[in-house]
Order: sequence, then structure tokens, then C-alpha cells
Amino acid sequence: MSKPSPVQPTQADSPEHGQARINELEAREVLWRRVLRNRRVQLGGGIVLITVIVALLASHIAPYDPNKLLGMPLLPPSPAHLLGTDDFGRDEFSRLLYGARVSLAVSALSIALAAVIGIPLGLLAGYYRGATETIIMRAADVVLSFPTIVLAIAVVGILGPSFRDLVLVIGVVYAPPFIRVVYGSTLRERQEEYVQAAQAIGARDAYVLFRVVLPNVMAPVLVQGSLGLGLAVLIEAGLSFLGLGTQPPTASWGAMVAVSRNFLTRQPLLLIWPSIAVSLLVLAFNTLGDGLRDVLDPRLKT
Amino acid sequence: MARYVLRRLVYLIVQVFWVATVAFVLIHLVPGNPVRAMLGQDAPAAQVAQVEHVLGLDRPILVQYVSWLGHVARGNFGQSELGGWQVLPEVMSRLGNTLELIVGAIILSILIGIPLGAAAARRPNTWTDMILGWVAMAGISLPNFVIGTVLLLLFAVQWHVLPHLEFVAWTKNPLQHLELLVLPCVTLAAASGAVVMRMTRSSLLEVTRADFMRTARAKGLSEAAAVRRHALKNAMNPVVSILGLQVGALLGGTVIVETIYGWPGLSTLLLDAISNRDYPVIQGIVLAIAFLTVVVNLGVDLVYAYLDPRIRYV
Repeated sequence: MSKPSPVQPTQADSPEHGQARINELEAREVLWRRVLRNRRVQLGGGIVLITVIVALLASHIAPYDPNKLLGMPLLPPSPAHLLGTDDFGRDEFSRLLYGARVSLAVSALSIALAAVIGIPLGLLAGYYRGATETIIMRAADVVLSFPTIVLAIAVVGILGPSFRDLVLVIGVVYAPPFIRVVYGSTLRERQEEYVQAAQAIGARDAYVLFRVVLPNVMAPVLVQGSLGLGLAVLIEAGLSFLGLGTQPPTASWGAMVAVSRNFLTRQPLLLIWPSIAVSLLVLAFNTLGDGLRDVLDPRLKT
Repeated sequence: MARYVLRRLVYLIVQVFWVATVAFVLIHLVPGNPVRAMLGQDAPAAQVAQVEHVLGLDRPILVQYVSWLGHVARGNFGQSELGGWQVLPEVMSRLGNTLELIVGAIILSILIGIPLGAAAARRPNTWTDMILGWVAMAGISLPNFVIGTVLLLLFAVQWHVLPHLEFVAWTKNPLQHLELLVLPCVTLAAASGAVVMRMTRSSLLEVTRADFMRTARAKGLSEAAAVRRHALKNAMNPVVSILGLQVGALLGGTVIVETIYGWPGLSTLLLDAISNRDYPVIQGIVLAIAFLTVVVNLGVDLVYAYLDPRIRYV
């Protein structure tokens, strides 16, 4: 993990410092290699990577326009339609590919938002303690005392479904876990000598918080982020399943599962494809998170 | 201990108050007029204004808030703006149905999660452990709407084993009611059972390395007896606390499970109320859910303190 860069430029020239810097870079590289060698990281990260590529290239890979009505509804899989057609006669395979876009966009944006809200608040609460700590942590408790999806439903249900609101809601609701994780680690790290050293040489608070403490609390944040991405995929799919998320005709895995319920007896495969897609992506994020935790954060190992 | 409980109770009230406030603000700051939703978009403005006046919606928001808070404190949650029925009794009866699902799911997760977790912990890093680990991973990752729909497809449509979507009250036919309860509970328990299993495994692994376990083995207890008599109780603390956290997740899960199986619980009521913009009902449900979660958290902390006397009440 990185240590603060020197505040006084002369230090950088000293041989001791140069050696320390080299050691640090080596340590980081070793850690990075250990992450990449982890089986779970390879498996989970691999699936995520493939999904990202598929989502980015959807318009090139997909054999048909996902929203185009091609005639025959509920066709079984065939060479012309790899996974058959849906109830409107649209190509199921193409819709599945485009569905990856929705899942990934919602989850990535909302978790990024959650991190942007949660990390600074967690740092502030853990570093300053006192009233700041009380206010931030109690506010986090209030949000946490709510089942995520219920809050999301309440907000989206009232605002009306839209992509922006969906991202906003998931982002805000998922900020408290980030606050908690960063807060806990900050409480521990602020007692460490390197933080006191930074304070002693007169570094500004913002510098200490974001350049000294933050890099050392990033490991649990990464783990939390990966698990959060899985949860965000679940929430988006769940809301779309209820008709409160992504709106037709845009292809979304959750909505595709919901539609398939009307045709369970006639074409059960329509249930299977989107189910596999959404489960696999969530599984990948969770496996990635577990793997990252094994390597980066042995204290939390489950 | 008494002081600790008292402090927690005060804290509980404060927390519910804040959640209630947030819920109120959230619902009222949001665009969309409930009276318009009620009367239709092209209702004459005079009529809208009149209904708003009758319902008190034309008062300043702060006045509405204080009056609402006063009513809630006296147990009056108001009436449905659409149906005219009292919110509190309806919410309570729906809450009962939802709690049935949650309790059933918790019992199932304990019955499945703890033995499987213990089995995995007995042979760590073997094939058994690995397979169970993937089972747990699947339980956590499979969305409940997928599990629910697949179960429905298999049991109700394909095999005709379980009765279809026709709710039967407990009082009418207890046996049929129980039958209806099976699939929703199993659906809900998949994720929480997996979480319990993972926590049981890691917690047991930690405990089996403890000194008192070496003593137990040294005095000649078999491994199974040592685990049963000494390790399990000591390993249960984290499991209890994670079960408490699961209640919130389960409550969230009921939204989808109730929809799939047509279960008349709190969540289906919430969805209805939201599509009708029935503010008093939404507020009542939000409060009920918040209250439930906070009470559960308190309960978990108390059980936790009971299981581990080393915890100080600070």
C-alpha cells in the first residue's frame, strides 16, 4: 500500500527514501500479482470482463436489432435465432446481449456514486470523531435501517421509473456500507505512526485524509465495491421485474424474466436465458469480491 | 443491563422518529399530485382544490408534518386516501402475513444453514467444503425472482404438486395455508440460508482453534461431541448477528416473493399504494417497516449480549 509522498522535496533525494520507494513499488507489484493469481478473482473477474466486452460490442455482435419485431413470436432456438424469439417476435439472443448494457451501466454508475458519497463521509467520521462522527454514523444508520429494495421501490415508485433516478437511488442507498467500511478502517489507521508522522510535519487535514489515510483503507473499499456491484445488478433486475425499473422496449434481464412468466407453459426457455445471464453476472461480482477479500483483507475472511 | 436496555429503547424511538421524518419529507417533496392521481388528470381545478382542502393537503408542509406526527404518536395512521379504510389495522394485518414469510424463512435458513455450515467446517478445504461453498455462493447470487419463478414453473406448472395462487387464510384452512407458505419461504431462505451457512462455517473454523477446544479434545471427547457441546454455542454469536441483518434483506425479498406468489402481505400493499400515490398508506408501511427493522436490531443485540456475557453494556 502506498505511503505519503514526501512533503519536503529534499527528502526525495536521500538514498534511504529512494530505497523505501523501490520497496514500496515492489510490495505493490507483489500484492497485485497475488490478486491476479487468486482463483476466485480469475473466475469472477473473467466473467465480468466478458460481460463488459459483450455489452460494449453489443451492437456489433447482436445478429438483430433487439427491438425489431421479426414476425414469429415464441420460436424455439434455431440457427436463425440462437435462443429463439420472445413474445413480440424479437430475437432473444440480441435482447440478452443488450440487456448486459443496462445491468452494467446501472450497477457501475450507482456504485461509483455510492463510493463518491460514502468514502469521504467515512473518512471524516473516522478521523474527526466527536459530533461529526455522531451525525454521519447516525444518518447512515437511518438509511441502513431500511431494506434497500423497499426504499428503492418507494422512491422510484413515486418519482416514476427513469434511468437517472434508479442510479441515484441505488447510489444513495448503498453509500452507508461504504461509510461503515471506511469509517472502521479509518478509526484503526489514524492511530498508526505514519498518520501521526504526517500530522507532525504539519500536513493539512485534507492531505492527511485523502493522500495518507485513504490509500490505506482502499482494500476493504474494493471488496465492498465488488459485492455492491452484484447487489446493484440484483436491485436493477428486481425493480425491472416488478415493472419499476428499466421500461420497455429497452431490453433488461429482470423485465425479460417478468415477461416470461406469462409463457411458462408455452416457452419456458424464455425464463431460462435471462435468469442464467443475471445470475451469472451477480455470481461473478460476488466471487470477485470474495477473492479480493481473501487476498487484500484477511481479517474479514469468511 | 436494565440501563442498557433503557438507553437502547430511547435510541430506538429517536431512530424511528428520524426514519418517519425522512419518509415524510421524501414523499412530500416528490413531484406528482395525489389528488390528481385520485380524480384523474383532467379533473377541474376547483374540484382538486376542494378535495385537497378536505384532506388538509393545502396546508403548509410543516403544519402537515406536525399534525401527522401528532396523530402517529397517538397511534392514528390516518385513512387510505383512495379506499377510506383505516391504515393502521390494514397495515397490521398485512404485516402479520409478511412476518409469517420472514419467520418461516429464518427457521428454514437455520435448519439448512447451520448443519451445512458445520459439515463444511469439519472438513475444510476438501471437496465437500468446496461444493458446499459453491452451493452457498449460488444461494447468495441467484436473484429471488429467478428462484421463485423457476420453483413456480417446476412445482405448480410442471408437476402440479402444490396448490396454485389462491390465498387461503390461516383461520379458514390451516393445512392449505401451510402448503401455500412452503414455496415463498423456500425462495426467501435460499439467500439467507446461504449467508447463515457461510457464517457458521467461518465462525466454527475460528472456534475450533480455540484453547478450550484443545482442552475438550484432550480430556477425551470425540471431535463430534466437542463441536456439539463446546464449539457450536461459542460460534453462534456472529451467526445470530448476521441473522438479524438478514431480517432486513428478507423484508426486501418479500416485495418480489409476495408479488410472484400472490401473497397478500405488506409489500404488495406498498406496491398498490405507490401506484395509487396513497400517501397515508405509504407512510404507514414505511413506518411499520422501519419500526420492525429497528426492533429486530435491538433484539439481536440483546440476544448477542445474552450469548456472550463478555460483552459490556456501554
